Amino acid sequence: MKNTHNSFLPREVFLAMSSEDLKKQSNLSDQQLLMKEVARGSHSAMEKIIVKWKDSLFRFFDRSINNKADAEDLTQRVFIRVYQSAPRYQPRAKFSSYLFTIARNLLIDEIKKRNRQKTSIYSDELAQDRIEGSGEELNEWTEILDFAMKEIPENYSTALLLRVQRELSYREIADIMKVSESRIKTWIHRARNHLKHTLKSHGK
Amino acid sequence: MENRRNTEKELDRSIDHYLSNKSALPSKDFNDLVMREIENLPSLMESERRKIPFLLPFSVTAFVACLLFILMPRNSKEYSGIEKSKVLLHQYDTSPQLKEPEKELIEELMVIPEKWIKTETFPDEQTYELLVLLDI
Repeated sequence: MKNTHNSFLPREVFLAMSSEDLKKQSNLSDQQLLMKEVARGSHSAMEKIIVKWKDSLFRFFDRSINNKADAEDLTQRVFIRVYQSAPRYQPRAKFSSYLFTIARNLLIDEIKKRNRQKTSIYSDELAQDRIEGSGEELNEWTEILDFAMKEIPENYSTALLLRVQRELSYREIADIMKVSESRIKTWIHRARNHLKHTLKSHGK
Repeated sequence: MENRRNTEKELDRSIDHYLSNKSALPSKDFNDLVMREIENLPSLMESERRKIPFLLPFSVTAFVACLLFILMPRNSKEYSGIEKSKVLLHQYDTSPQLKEPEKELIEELMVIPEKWIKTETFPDEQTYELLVLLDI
């Protein structure tokens, strides 16, 4: 993917120029050009974006909230929001940054909703029971890490997931999360340490 | 030491493997579900067009509010200026206010009766001196 970071193109110019001209004259990525087509009402362009990004988004949400049905629902909501905001889209940053900024906002809303409904507390108790109750289940790395992930604040886990899953630079993660690079490094370090510590405490 | 480093690396690898979550995939009909959802939405052009009449009353109200905000202080300033000058005029208007009977009296005095209009001519200075000398 071409690097389009910091290459600002005004929305009017972006919408007025044809895709071919944009491709020749700017360093816009294929995804950004697809967004232009979506803004013009092209459903096939939207479908291409879905095919390209659905797995990445689903994996991100699945690890963040540890619930496949909700992860799928959130992934779907990201695409609907992308579609609805296409006429106002400006290719200011990489498309993945734009996409994961939306994803993170939806994730925060979901966590707030869960906190209000107290479902997370219930599932935490269940996880705790599972870990304390059965020695056999303790041997499952995934279960231990699932439990450890729930203990990590959202910003720590999001930074870690973007780093590991998307292999984004600290700068890119900082752009998505609207904080400094040094803070991102700290969050990732703490999150990873917590996961390691939890594994060690369970004899791994 | 070497053993410990290996364990750390092993832990990191396990954590990365867990986080990357490569085996997780959305359901097979995910694309169709999302596209169906999108097709049910109003078209983008339409929704953008819909926004204009929806936003129109708000923008008109906002415009009127701004206009009032700009004009109000100036008007009130002018108003207060006029009021202030009236008060000042009133304060500095020190001319004695005559009571009605006094007013009438003065008016009467000011009116010269018609018979007095035929005033007798006064003698000039030399004639006057002569009259004084003659003790008339």
